[in-house]
This record gives sequence, C-alpha cells and structure tokens, in this order.
Amino acid sequence: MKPSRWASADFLREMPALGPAVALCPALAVTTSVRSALALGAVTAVALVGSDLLARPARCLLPARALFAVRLVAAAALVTLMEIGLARRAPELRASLGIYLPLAAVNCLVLTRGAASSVVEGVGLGAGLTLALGLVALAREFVGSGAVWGRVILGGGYNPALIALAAPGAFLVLGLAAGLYRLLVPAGRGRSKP
Amino acid sequence: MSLDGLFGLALGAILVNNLVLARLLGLCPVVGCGRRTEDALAMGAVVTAVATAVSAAGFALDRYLLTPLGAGHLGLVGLVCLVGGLGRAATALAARVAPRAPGNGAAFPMVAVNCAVLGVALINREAGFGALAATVHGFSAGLGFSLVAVLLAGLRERLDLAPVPRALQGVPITLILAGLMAMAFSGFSGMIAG
Repeated sequence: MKPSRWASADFLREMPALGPAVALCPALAVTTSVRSALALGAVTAVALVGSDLLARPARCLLPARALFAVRLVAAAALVTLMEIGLARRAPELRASLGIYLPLAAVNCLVLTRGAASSVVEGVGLGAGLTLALGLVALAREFVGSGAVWGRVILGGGYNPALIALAAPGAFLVLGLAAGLYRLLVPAGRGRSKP
Repeated sequence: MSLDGLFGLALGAILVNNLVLARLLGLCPVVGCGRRTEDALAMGAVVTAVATAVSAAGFALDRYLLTPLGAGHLGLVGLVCLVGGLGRAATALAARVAPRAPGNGAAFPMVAVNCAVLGVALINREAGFGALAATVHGFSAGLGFSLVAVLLAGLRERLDLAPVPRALQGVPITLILAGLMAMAFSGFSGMIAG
C-alpha cells in the first residue's frame, strides 16, 4: 500500500474502537485521562507493528494458525518489555494503567492481522487507535473532572459529572462517540461490523 | 480463604465487580458477536470453562514453574500461551462435542484471544489468590460474563424492533445499552462487605 493512501484514506476511515468494534476494552478502561489513553494507544501500536515485524520471517515457513501463535507470543514479549520500561521511567503512569497494559498483548486488533498484512497498514491502525483513545479520553476527562492532562480548565463553578469517569459513563461516552463517528465519517471498506 | 470469604468473592465477581460492566473486560465478544441469546449462552459457557481452567493453570504456572525459576517477568508470556492454548482446545472440543451448537464458528475464535480470560488470570495474580480462591474467582467471573452476555443479547433482540437512529444502529446503541446496564449493576456495590 502506498504511503499516500494510508495517510489520507484509511487512517481516519477505519479508526479502531470508533468504527469497527475492536479494542473496546482499552477504549473504555483507560480513557479516564488523556495521558493514560495516549500511553496505552502507543503501547498497542508498538505491539501491533512489532509483533507483525517479528512474525514476518516465519510467514513463509508456518501455516496461518501457527503464525497466529507466534504473533501472540511476540506481542506478549513486546508488551512485557514496555511494561518493565514504563515501570522504571514512569511508575505512576504504569500504576494508573493497571491490568490493562498487559492486556494490550491480546488486543483483538493486534491479533486479527491477516497473513498479508502490511506494516504501513499496521502503523495506520495504531495511529488511528491512539487518536480514538485520546479523543474519548478528552471528552471523559473534561466532562468528568473539568481538567485535561491534569490542568484544570473549568474552574470551581463547574460541578463535574463524575459518571463520565466511572464504568457506565465509559460505555455512554464511547457509544455516543461511535455514533458521532459514523455520522461524520463515510463508511470504510465495509470492514465495520454493524 | 474461608468458605464465607469464597462465597463473598464469588458473589462479588458476578455482581459487584462484574467482568464486563465493572472491570470492562471481554467487551469485544459481547458487543461484537452476542446478538442472539443462544449464541451468548454458548459463548458464556465456553468463557466460563476456559476462565476456570486458566485460573487454575495460571496459579500452578506461577507457583510451580515461574517462581522457583525466578522468572516472574515471564508471567505475561506464560499466561498468554496458556490462554491461547486452552482457548484453542476449548474451541476444538466444543466443535467436536456440539458441532451444530448455536454460535459455533463465529463467536468461538474470539474466546481464544478473549481479554476477559487473560484479565481474570492477571487479577488473580495481582490479588495473590490461592489455588481454590483463584479457581472460584475464575468460575464466578465467567458466570458474571455469561449473565451480562445473555442479558445484553436479549435486549438487543428487543432492540431490533425499536426505531434506533441510523448513526446509532449496531455497536453504538449496544454500548449505550451496556452503559445503562452498568449503571443498574453499580447499585450492587457495597453489597459484599470487605
């Protein structure tokens, strides 16, 4: 796929979590703050592209099912490395992500990559996911606490809608965001599940 | 853990800390595939079986293999292999035992990479549950997952008759529905002491 194509068309047309119903767990669980959302999006993107690259040499040797297992283990290994790195560099961020950071390894997105998947497509999907997570987190953090990235925007007069930060609010915000996305963005290549 | 404690753990895992509605795990299968009640029941049964098996096996992996070897950091890779292997085995068994069971084929591959099952194993690890507590927790978490999957599928069947706006049809309205269910389930909090 030519770089220009992914940059314009598919990157925004098939944003994971908003378009196709994949990667929902992180989209709901870590979008309580923009910082954790972007961090997890980045980790998932790296796992996505990295596991693809690591599994590439085995492509011609192994059948699809075995390749799936190789990709699974590669993703788990990459996520473990990133987890250790994050625990060293930013322990409070690692703590805020909780069990959802290791779960990036079995993200549906990481594993439903076909045998003919391209690296550029992987980068596009990873970027799309990170952007989607960031946008949902922006809405939730802003409505739920009046602050973004820890910086208070709406002052003392704002009574925050705490539900936006809790589990029910996560579902509601993501549902509305997905509806809005469908309204604004023309349908992709028909991969979105109705 | 005493019988009282185990009972509280089980009830908590089904209602208070419900896997789907409170811990926000296992969403992709529930939202993406659970359209009919029969499918949801079948998917829930398989997830419960796999979650129980993975909980028990994960405890054994940690206690008898990783800790003696000092390889705690390989925990994620090990668990991922367990989940993949057991999920695959369960899918094959289900196909063999009940080939014409509803939902066979579509929902079941999701179980193999279900973040719900891995999530349960990670929670067990983090909470430091013993063998019995881990198994009970895995089983009850699976039951909680099945409960929500069946309820949501039933609601979605009803929803087919309702006038949903086009932009919200499918995944968005399901998420909003799940959000309302999560609000209802949050009423259970505080039910289990401690």
